[in-house]
Amino acid sequence: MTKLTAASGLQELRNAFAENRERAIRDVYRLHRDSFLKYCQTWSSNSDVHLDCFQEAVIALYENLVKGKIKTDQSSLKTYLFAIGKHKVLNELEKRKRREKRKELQKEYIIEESKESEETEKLNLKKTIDQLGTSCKDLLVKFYYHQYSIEAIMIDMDYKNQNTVKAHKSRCMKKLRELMSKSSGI
Amino acid sequence: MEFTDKDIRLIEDALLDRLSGEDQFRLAERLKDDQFSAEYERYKLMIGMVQSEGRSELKKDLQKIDKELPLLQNNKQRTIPMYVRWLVAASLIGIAGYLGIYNFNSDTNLNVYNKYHEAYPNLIDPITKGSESGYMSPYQLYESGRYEAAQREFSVLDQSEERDFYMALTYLELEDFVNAINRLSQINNNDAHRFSSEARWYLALAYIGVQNEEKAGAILIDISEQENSPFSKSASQLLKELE
Repeated sequence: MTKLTAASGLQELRNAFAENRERAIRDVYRLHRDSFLKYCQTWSSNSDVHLDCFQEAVIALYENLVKGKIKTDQSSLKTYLFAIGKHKVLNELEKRKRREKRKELQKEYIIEESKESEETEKLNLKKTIDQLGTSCKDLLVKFYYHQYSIEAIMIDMDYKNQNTVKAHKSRCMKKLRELMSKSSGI
Repeated sequence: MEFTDKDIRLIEDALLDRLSGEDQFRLAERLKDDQFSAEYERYKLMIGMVQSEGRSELKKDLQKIDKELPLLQNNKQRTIPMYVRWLVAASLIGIAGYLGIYNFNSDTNLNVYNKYHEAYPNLIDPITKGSESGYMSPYQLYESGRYEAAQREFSVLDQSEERDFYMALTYLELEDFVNAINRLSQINNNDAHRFSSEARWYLALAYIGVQNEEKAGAILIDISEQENSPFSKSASQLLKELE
């Protein structure tokens, strides 16, 4: 069993991830959160964005691991994670700066409008996904987000065989398509 | 129009970023068909929705993990009076002005800095299996990313070329560019120093960190002209980017 430490490299992370994804991500989070927050304090005073950006960085790391996009000779895990996190903090600060500028130009009503429509869109998407039901949602998230194989889903969700998983998946996609057509006419 | 399983698999593989070169060609061909292209777009939307749901579930999980962790000491309310903070800030600006350093926190420069910056490896006393659980030398602390601890340990270590170089690097890793520049400059000015060419590269990066492109550029030109320097290629690339 691979045990991650603060000094672990990307290869160790890949091994730990292959053994147990959840534990690997939990360990990464626990091992690096505090040092990332301290690191951010040395160059940014907006501490309210640091934690959120760290979580976004861990999510990006997870997605790159799932997609096999991480080269182990790239850098250390910490350097890699902090570079993503820092990029996210800088982007967020830049976004805020732009928002402030827009406010200064007295166009608040446009901002409110776009914020509102963004929120409404998010809510609609969430509503559509929730209408799918738990088993469909779980299956599709496992397949399309976590990129589990059909076999892994069969074991994890206790299906009889792989064909049953495939059939259920295609029914769920059909249902999602119908729900989307209802809500947006696609 | 009904699509075959093979078509759907092609679309899924494309959207999940796992197409082989041959499949990419096949996809490009199939996308010329309007109906297939429309189906591809529908799948893109649906998979995007599912992925967004997965991402928000993962975020909730991380927030749960976060709640289980103790609060970071440094995130608690600081008790340093505001006027002291202002005084510290003012003196830092003064020092920066003296060194010819302007415009701290430039996002663009930090991006360039991040792109080219990679921590120099610990060549002196690398971490071996088991060594990280017991006493760690300052070099090992440096390697494990514990730069503040490494700095403390280096400061009580006897002076040596290795110590001076790695100590300077801890300042750079902590993005204390002013101190990093001071220390790296001393090494850079001593051609006989074991790490003078490495120090030159990191000094250029430190100047980029504080947006002193003029000084960074001069050093980079120097490095790029040294064919034997391991940093000459990176220096040329970086120079182009600065232009």
